[in-house]
Amino acid sequence: MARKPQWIKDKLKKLKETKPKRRLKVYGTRRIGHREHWVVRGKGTYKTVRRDKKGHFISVKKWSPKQPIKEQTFTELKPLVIPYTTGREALEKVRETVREWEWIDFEAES
Amino acid sequence: MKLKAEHEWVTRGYVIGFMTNKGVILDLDNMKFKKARWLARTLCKQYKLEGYLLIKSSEKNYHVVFNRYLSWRTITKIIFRQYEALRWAVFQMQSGYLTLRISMKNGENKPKIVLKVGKADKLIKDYLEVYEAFKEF
Repeated sequence: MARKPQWIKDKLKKLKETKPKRRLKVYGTRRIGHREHWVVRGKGTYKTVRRDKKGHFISVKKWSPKQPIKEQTFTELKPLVIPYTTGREALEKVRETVREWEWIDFEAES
Repeated sequence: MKLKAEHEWVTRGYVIGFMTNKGVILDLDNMKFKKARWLARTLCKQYKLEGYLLIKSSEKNYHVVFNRYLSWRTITKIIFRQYEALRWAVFQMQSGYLTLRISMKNGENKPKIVLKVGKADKLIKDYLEVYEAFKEF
């Protein structure tokens, strides 16, 4: 079997060292977007232009970055992974992260 | 008679999970205490896992944490040999970590420690540290 080159070994070693060994997962449905900020430079407005296959103009639509395109884009299901070293530290970190997000209650369909 | 417990989604708030890729943990659903204990005992003997912790997560559902640290390769081997936890194992493998819930789900069913057997100085120690810290959750 071929040996691994040195640079791969170094990279793996570095990854092992930097990766935290203990982790906690926080999951649920949370609302995203409350801490995103859109900056609109100048007075120009964003516009989306629709064109056909040949590149001819069909229509133009105004798009505002301040409002979400769909409501679904503002809910997040991905778990939050929190690295920690001690139990007390984990508790503090989890409390901090949980407070940061808005958690949504809903009724499950199935 | 209700044979199978239905899966309950997280519909209220959030849930905290203990993640590991260093040792074997199992989620045993729809199982009586005696069978869960038998399974934990057998695995502990078969793979020399040093000790185990049996936790009741809800009615007829149990969690098992084994003490010994193992490589990811060995962990996958052990977990996929267990028919009882196969579905759970497939989902866990996708993320590359094994996770067990340590907090309440939808405001109820806080996992309770039922049985502690053998050594508890490695993975069980890690689990208990977090479990104690999150007693209120």
